[in-house]
Amino acid sequence: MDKRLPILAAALAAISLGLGAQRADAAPMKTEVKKQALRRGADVAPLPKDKALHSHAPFEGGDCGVCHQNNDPKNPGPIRHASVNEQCFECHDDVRDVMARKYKHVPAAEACTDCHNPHNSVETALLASEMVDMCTRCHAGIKQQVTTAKVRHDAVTTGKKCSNCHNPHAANVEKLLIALPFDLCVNCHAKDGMTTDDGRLMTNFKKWLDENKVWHDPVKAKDCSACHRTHGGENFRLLVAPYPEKFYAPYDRKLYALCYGCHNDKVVSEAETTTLTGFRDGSRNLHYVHVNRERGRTCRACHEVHASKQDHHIRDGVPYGPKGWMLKVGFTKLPNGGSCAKTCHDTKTYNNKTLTSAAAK
Amino acid sequence: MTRSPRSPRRSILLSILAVVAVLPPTAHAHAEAGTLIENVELRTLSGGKDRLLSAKVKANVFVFFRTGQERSADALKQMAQCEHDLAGKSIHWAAVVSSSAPPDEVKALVAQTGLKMPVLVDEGDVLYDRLGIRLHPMVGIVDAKFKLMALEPYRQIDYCEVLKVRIRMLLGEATQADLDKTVNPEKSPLPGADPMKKAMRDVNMARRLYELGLPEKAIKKAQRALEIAPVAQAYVVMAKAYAKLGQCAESAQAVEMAAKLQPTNPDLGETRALCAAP
Repeated sequence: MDKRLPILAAALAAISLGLGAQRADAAPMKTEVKKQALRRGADVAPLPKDKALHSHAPFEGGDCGVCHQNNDPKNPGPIRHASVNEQCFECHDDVRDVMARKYKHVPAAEACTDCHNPHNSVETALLASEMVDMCTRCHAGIKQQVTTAKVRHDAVTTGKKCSNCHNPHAANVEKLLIALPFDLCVNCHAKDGMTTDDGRLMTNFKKWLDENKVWHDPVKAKDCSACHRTHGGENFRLLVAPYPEKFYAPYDRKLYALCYGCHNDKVVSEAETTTLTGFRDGSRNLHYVHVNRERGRTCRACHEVHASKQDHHIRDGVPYGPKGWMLKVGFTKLPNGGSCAKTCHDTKTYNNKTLTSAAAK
Repeated sequence: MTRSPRSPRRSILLSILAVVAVLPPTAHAHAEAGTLIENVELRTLSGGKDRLLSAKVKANVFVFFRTGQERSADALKQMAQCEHDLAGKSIHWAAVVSSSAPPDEVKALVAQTGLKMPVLVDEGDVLYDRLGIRLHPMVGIVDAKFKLMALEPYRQIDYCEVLKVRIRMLLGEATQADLDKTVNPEKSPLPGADPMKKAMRDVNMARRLYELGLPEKAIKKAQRALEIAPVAQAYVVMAKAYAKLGQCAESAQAVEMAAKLQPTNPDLGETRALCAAP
């Protein structure tokens, strides 16, 4: 074995070196956040009363002394506490608890008035300006995603906007998320009949995940953002990288950049392998066989990317005909590999334990 | 399945592969927790040899990565941070890269991410196959007896935190409860989501208005608090404000409401005394 391994290694290395120069050309998964010191201090002066839509109760009642040293609207003087936040916490003591969380938003830790006008505002929660506009003044990378995205995510611009998913004060989850991505996403994507902007039906993920217990690793890790760009993106379904929209698509590695963000593209590009995949008959790479053809199968032709009932994320059925009738994929896992019952093709079995079994079954 | 015609050269290669492939037991799904990991010796990127694991430490950590992949680059950066955060502890670290990765690219990536651990070269992806790893990056965490505790795929959120807790469990510094808390962190609702806490804001303002000598306003504010949630402290402030106005019947009634909601409220006695005083 010792003598053979170097030969094997050299052979495989030689094959793969030729492919080494290929690189996924997907847009960056993580967008740079250009934090600019623009929001260090909102305009705290009161707006003219006819312009403001929301007022802070002490200001509205003329009770300046709740926060200021003098209870005189004409001469309120400085605030009563040494810091803005301590002043606010005198009434908003629940925010003190919030700010004790692990991940803190720097402007919130510095001064509540970085984002809030303590007197009045046209915005709810006395925000100094419209939320998306305010947040993206510092988070410029996100602004670019939100404003230039070909595919938009309503969650960013409707309801509580940024704070549908983020707690702009502090959070127990990285990126100031209110909960892990999965818990946030499935919280909304749990309805039948939701559609995309172009009218396509969206999955009720709560139902789907309840019914299909073999979950893809990112789903298990509650990490929807591993594959979806939640602020908006260039690819359909907000995918972080290109992926074929249609069921049949010719194989072009660039089109599959989403999957190759984690999976090794050699799993499809190597005609022969004994190490890269278990879906092989002897050393014949059956991923290669399925994908590298004129009407190439996309990954989802066989795999259900979120969750499935079968091993290896094999999907239950494939859509067939104009009405989308589901043709069952009868995959069976076997001790030495597996078999697919007659559906897309005749029943075929593969054996990945030896290299002498590549003959037709 | 049909076999396509092959060249003699390919047949020779396949013959070699056939013999080699049947020798080691291969896995075709991720190695499960509890699997014993073989402590293989591999070539290092710097030219020497090193083992994947060490029996002299409490925790072994290895990360499979590849070049030209954003997630691997980010994972290595975060692993470098983990390495830094856990420096000096009983941990053996190793990064593993396929022999097919161009060495110059590997070196550049490692330098860029600040990783300190040795980089081992997996000849022909043999180790990758044995562990059933089918994607990059993947972190393995193994105990001193070479038992696999976890294979952790990349995640965008709380990645380093999850890895550190798993490692600390092997070091005896963290428990399963710590891991559960990290993997499923408590939700972080926006301020105001809890009505009791939201009502307390009005109570706090009512208290301040009372201190400013504005008992009527304090009562109104306390009543607003009670519209949000039944907080005993709202009745306490209300009782004090009524007492200040000389309305002792209303004050007594408010104190009793506070006592009903929270019999142990420490301000009850003092508040009752405000109207009892001559």
